Amino acid sequence: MNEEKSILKPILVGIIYFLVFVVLVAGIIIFVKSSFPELKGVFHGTLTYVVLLGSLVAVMAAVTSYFDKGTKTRMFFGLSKAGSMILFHLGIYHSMDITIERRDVMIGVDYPGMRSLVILLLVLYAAYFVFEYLLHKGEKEEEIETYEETRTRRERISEPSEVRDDQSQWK
Amino acid sequence: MKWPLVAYRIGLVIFLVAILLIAAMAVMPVLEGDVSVERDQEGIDWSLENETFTGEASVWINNSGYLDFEKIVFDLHVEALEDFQVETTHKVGKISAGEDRKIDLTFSKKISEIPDDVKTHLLRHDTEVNMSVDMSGQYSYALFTFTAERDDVFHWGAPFYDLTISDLSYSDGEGMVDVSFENHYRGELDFTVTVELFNSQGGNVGSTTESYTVPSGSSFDETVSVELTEEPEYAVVTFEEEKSGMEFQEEVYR
Repeated sequence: MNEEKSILKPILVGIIYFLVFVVLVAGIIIFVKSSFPELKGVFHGTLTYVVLLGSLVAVMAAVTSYFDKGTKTRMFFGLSKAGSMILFHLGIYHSMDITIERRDVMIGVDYPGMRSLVILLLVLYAAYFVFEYLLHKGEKEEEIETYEETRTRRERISEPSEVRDDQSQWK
Repeated sequence: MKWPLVAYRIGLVIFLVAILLIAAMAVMPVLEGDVSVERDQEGIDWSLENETFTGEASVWINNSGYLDFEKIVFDLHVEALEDFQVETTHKVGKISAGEDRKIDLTFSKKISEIPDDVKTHLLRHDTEVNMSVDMSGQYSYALFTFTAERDDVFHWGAPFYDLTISDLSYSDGEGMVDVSFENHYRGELDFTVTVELFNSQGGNVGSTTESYTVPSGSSFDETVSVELTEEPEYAVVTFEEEKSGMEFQEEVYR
């Protein structure tokens, strides 16, 4: 239990999430802006939202992975991670105005159904951490009990017995 | 990892893939041009019947995508000469995946609701008519909603274009008025012309009503004669379009 935790895993997780949520998404936006100039007006500070909220998601993912399954701390950060993903999604949505002019026609697009599906997915993802906590909680308590028992046994063994001390006095 | 958690994760991944697939199914046909809304090139088909001024334009909606279009509504705003405005809404409803449908957008206005100066202008002058079409709709279950706005200018061809009425002439007990114009209206023009002649005191000294038919795109040039009891001072010439009942008057002097 008290063994030193490796921070390699959280760092790796953080980097992967940063690559997906910041680098990849920002790359797609930059590609769209440069390849389709008529879509330039769609994005209103979207890159800033992607960098800020994407980084938040990456940090939350890294912190979550640092903690063991079955702990309340992991569940808390897991929920925060899913929450930051919802914020990321809503931030991008609010910074976009999909209005395109094509052959004298102004076309506006919105995606309420898709947005609800994505939010439902993220809520289910948040529920995953609660589910994970409940499933691993018993396992964790067992682990703690075993650890406590082992420690007590070790302490008992390492304690000098009074009988032996008495015997040594007689010698 | 415990199997219920594995199953939960797999479920989440399947859900994510399904969302991405639905998005692709909605967006790809649009990008590939399989979904289109096109205006009919023929413009507006005008008619003046039953005391109603009617215009009809057509729009083709091609939905060769994978998802249905729902709740399609067209809002039309037609404007000419500032005083002539018509607003109307057409609810189209659903266009299933794979369907290609022609939508007729009709707007009409009772002749009695059109101000007289506008009526006279429309009868005598070619006019630019601005039509703005707002279309709204959604994919199944409101996955995506869309609006499209388009402004067009259409040409209204006047039935009595370039109308010229000569001064009143009088000889041998007959009053005469020359009338000429071009029918720029899309359809045949059936009209009556009534010439009433008055003396200097304003008393009626004779009148006649003649009916004519002028094909679309043709010129009209006729002399209307009236037998008189005394010399006239001036004439009132009334033109009435028969199908719509729209009319206007002109006074001519000797």
